[in-house]
Amino acid sequence: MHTHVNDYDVTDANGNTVPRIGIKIFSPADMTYFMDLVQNAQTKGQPLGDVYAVMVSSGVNYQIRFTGNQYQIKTFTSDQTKAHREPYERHLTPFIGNPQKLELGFLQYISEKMNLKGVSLYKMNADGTTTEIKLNDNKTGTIETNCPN
Amino acid sequence: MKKIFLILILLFAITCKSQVVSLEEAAQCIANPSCPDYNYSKDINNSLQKYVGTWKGSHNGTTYEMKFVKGFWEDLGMKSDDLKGRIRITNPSSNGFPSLIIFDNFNESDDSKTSFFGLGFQPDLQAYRMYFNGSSPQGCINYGKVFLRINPNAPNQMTIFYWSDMDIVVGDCPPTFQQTFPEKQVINLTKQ
Repeated sequence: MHTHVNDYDVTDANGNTVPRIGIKIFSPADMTYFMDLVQNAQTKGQPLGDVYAVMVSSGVNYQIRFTGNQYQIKTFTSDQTKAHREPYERHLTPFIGNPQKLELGFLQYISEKMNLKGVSLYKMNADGTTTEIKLNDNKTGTIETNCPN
Repeated sequence: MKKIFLILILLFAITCKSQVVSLEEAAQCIANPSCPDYNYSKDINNSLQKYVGTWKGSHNGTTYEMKFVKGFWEDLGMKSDDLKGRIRITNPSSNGFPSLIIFDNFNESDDSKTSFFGLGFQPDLQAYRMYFNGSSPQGCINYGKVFLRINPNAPNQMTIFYWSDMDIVVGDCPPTFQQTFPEKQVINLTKQ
């Protein structure tokens, strides 16, 4: 579990404002670490569905869980993670202002670019309920399903 | 039939056009959840031109050079006009020590392989945000945003400002590790 901090500004030595503009959803490094946890569970013979990661931010809190099978476990070397940073940053930056677009961009990225299947994204709502977010069939939008309590 | 075809083409053209925004409009979307959908942030106002060229300056005895060209990016249905950058950072020779190259990709011929490219303007349009993806040992972070700022009254002067990303890391960063750019320092560059 980890936190993505709020955007905040710093002032440079000339008095100019520099904004921190963060992407408030799981990063390629987060996904790499998560898949290492899944691989670890597989090695130890633990249920894969028990592995989850939570991201806390001032906006939406997200959880990812592994819902795939053992053949969908994919891990990344540090070079591969590094190579994912640039296209990830590019693809998600236009969606920063809107959580729903960010969720879509994230799901598109991990499915199409990282080729990660069997990873499910959940939004943890303020009222204690959880919503699963999935790509639609043509991967141009998301479908939200409220989870049974 | 011809007319219907024409109308269809026109409608298609209008729909396509409505998905193009300027870089300035795209920058507003960073802070605005109700921003219209777009798939192309275009340099309609030629705002990137002023950065193009070679820039040089020094900071705490280290020489920083940057070279920018205009470029284009397209992936997963999104397009953007952007800047591609190249970086050369050197410590000049002194006291008998030869000059030391800290980072240099001026000779990289492929614009898409410089690990330094534009993400767009910050919302107040006062600076252009570049992404730098440097190498580092495990446990360290050597990537983040470089803010390029040109005062319109002094178009041959630019400041750069590096701010590291925050991300998950595994293990401890070796204490000897140094980031490619000093963090949160204003570095003055002059157009060459």
